[in-house]
Amino acid sequence: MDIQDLRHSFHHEIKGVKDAKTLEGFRIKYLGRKDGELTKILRSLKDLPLAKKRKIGPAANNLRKEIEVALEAKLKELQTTNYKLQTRIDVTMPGKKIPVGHLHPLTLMENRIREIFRGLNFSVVEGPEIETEHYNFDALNIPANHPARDMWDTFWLKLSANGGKFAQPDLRSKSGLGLKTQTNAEKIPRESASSPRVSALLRTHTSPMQIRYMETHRPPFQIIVPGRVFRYEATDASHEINFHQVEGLMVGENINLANFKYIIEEFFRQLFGAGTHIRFRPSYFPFVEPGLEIDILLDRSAEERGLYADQRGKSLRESAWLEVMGAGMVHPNVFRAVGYDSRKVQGFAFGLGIERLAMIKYKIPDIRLFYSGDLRFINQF
Amino acid sequence: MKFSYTLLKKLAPVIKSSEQLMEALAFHAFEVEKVDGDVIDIVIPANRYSDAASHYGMAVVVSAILGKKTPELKLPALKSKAQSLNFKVGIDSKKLCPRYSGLYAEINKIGKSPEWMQKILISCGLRPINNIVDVMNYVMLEIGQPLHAFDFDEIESVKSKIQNPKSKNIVVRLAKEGEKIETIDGGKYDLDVNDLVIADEKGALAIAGVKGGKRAEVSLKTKRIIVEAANFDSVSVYKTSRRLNLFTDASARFSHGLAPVLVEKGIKRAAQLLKEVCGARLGDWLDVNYVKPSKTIIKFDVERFNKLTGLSLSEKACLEYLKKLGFQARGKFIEPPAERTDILIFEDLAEEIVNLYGYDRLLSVVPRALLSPSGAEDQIVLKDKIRSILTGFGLSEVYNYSFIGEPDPNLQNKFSLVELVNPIADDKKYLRPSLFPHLTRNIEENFRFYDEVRIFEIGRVFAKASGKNGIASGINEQLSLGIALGLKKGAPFLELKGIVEQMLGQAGLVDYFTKEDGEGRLRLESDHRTLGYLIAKDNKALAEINLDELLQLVVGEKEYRPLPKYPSATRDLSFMVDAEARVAAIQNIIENTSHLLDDADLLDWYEDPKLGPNRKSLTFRLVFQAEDRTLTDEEVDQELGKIVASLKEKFDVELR
Repeated sequence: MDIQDLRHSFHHEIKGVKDAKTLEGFRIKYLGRKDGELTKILRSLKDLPLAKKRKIGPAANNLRKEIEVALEAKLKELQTTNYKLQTRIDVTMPGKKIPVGHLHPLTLMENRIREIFRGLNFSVVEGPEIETEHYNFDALNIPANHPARDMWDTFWLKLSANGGKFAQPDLRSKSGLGLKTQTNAEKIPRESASSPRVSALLRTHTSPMQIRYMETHRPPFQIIVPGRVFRYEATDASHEINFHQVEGLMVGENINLANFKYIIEEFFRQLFGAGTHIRFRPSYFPFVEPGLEIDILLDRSAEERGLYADQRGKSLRESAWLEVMGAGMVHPNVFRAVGYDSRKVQGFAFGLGIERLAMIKYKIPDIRLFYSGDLRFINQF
Repeated sequence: MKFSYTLLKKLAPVIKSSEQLMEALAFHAFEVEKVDGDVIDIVIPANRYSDAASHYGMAVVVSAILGKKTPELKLPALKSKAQSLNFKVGIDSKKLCPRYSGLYAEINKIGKSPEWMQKILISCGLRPINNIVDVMNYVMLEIGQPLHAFDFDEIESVKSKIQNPKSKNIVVRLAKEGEKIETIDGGKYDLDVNDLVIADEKGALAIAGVKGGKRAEVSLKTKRIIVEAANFDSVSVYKTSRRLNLFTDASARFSHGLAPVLVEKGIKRAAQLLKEVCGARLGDWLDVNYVKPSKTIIKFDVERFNKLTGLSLSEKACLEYLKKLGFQARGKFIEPPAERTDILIFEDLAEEIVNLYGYDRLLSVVPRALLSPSGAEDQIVLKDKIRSILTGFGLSEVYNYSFIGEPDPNLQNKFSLVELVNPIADDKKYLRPSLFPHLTRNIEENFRFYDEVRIFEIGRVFAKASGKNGIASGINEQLSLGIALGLKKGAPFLELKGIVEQMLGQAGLVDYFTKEDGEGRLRLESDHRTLGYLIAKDNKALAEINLDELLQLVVGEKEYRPLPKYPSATRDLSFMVDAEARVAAIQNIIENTSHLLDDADLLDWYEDPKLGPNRKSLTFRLVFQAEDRTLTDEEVDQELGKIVASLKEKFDVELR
């Protein structure tokens, strides 16, 4: 085959090349080190008479350059064409499944609660799940050996055989915001006033953190305390042996009940929408005076309300109201327990259940689902 | 507590309907659980048994809410005596019984009580028995003072006609060791030396404040009775009632604490009704060991009230509310009714006023407070960060119980488990020492619906503190992160390890290393502290990391490093090595031999019998880089040679 034929057949064939792999085979066919068509011609040059060599030599070399340029151009073209080909796919096909992780609904609810209170200038702190009678009851004005304490069914812990005395804590050196989680129960508990030996228990509410926080900080301040709490009681669709609360505490010189109403209305309207109705009712908690409970009425259809009504035989109109929070003005005995002068400071405290709010918000009918570990449930959020 | 609408309306005529009553109570006093015909179930707060656990007390509250003054209780003008010819009472434990009254009565007719009384008893959940017992119960419901009637002729000294002028017919004392009692319902109880009893010469007649005994029980043969109205120490009754697991209407009332003033009201009302219902002839009323408690006087300061509540009421308006509840006001000095044992301080008065005024009329007012920055604890910030990193990697978050049952004996150190005194179930006897047990179960359970499970949990775990290092014995509570992967087909350990490494990096832990710690187990260490473990277990892989420790070690700040100015050179290094050789050790040599090596990644590994017995093949991709120049091929090959030489020193390396 002479040079001209080779050029023709090359330009003819390259038109048919559709992908890079074929192109590579094509390159080998012409320029391959062993059996490339052009390589063969170039190699045969040395056996040719000088005149022929002079004539064919430059022509062959030119062709080689030409082929190389053409191959490169073709490669680029193929790459672009392939890209174009991809964009021609059926766009109505389903998107690729991207693995997504889901936060637990209780985390979502806690995050939202924290976000709203941060917006209201509250700080967020946490406390230990293991408590002493002093923090869980005595300092909160919940009398020992009185049925008032039975409002909180308690899990008690066995302590080691060599007694159950805890070391005295030093919590009074804090810097900056003073925000440091106290988690190590052994560092903190004190002797309980009601029992000579310290008894360890699982905290029945987040209220002990009122005491712990006030012992180490001076007012004015406003905090919320999310955390896990425990109750010794039979489980059903609305009761669990462990669940989560958020405690709130705002103390200053003049923090009053009307301020509490503002904060809490703001909170519920941000959480459940501007149409949410809020009402207060008198109630009793030993660590507040006056004490009250808060009900909300969601801006939902009557039918929806019926589904999540309290099962206490109240009329539908009544049961549409949902009990969501206990609260009140901090009792002077609580201030006394932490060494505050109750004539100089005042403030409010409140407690809410995260599960309860999540059940209302996401319309979850059974509290036990939160602890099922079932991804069919969790991945809905 | 159940109330009769009929009786409430009789005592507080201002009540117009049960709806009105319910609304009044719910928004100004107490929660109403249920209304069902004549029965109204009202939640009595633990501090209000003395005044509000009675129809009369409730009538006072309702009347005040509805704007009327306290209705008068019309009681006969009886006078108590210190001594009586009919009977004698002695009190051994004066502290535990601050007041004891006995009323002697001779009964004319015993039989059924009138229908109106029976109806009220039934509404309140009590069973009518006979007119004497029913009067006792009815007075308790109406006045709030528990009463008990003893058959006078069954009291030992009367029965055996003992004529000892010094002997007492009735004694209030602590039980003797080994003393027993049979109660009116036939229950048999072993008493304790801390239990207070009402006794005669023969033994206990009643468990004080809890339940009456069989022996001097009122029967249809009863002719003469002693009505007991007493005040007992609330803690004593509470403890006895709990110890005996015997809870009665009376014990509930005494446990919460009652005002001694109720005793005389109870006796007077009982006297009135015994005459009326049983045709009784009344004898002496003995009232023993009664020292009138000192009055509670509280100064009411209206400015303080308005400062506490944010209201702006006048002093006059406030005092009006209190007077409606029967409080006496002399100027600013307020005396609550004697039954109101819950009113002790100024704030208690404030609550009474706010409740009557109504929360619906309280305005919401923006707090005026000093602006101080708000924040969240470091640990909370770290938790948030980890949650966002892990969900970003496609893991979902679970919450599990803080309790476990009997642990796997191979895995747990049983001695450090924290045990519950009162577990609620066998599978919840201990506090979880680790997040692993529940996470493992989560994976298995989710395998029913998913082929691949990737989850994490953040929660507290518990262990007994060792008592070493001078720490007093106690319980150690620690914040833990658990990550668990499960693949129905496959081994997810390396994926888990990658997740942990990336997470630690993103969380800001720069300096840590892992150490093999037994079969399929890796220990994570940093700064000479164990941070956690990674475990490979068949088709599952789990990691647990101590977040309290991690928090101490993370470095928040990141710092810019100049981008390379010169190109890097890449070489792939494939070799065979003994199957037992640890990749970490090999990589360690590779990374620490040449200062021009920028990065080394394990590209590929496999074991194959074709490679020869106990051989595996590894391919690393090595990236060489110099800060000040472009590396030549010769330089790179030389460095590669050094690395190969170092490898061959330690391992049976065979280049491929």
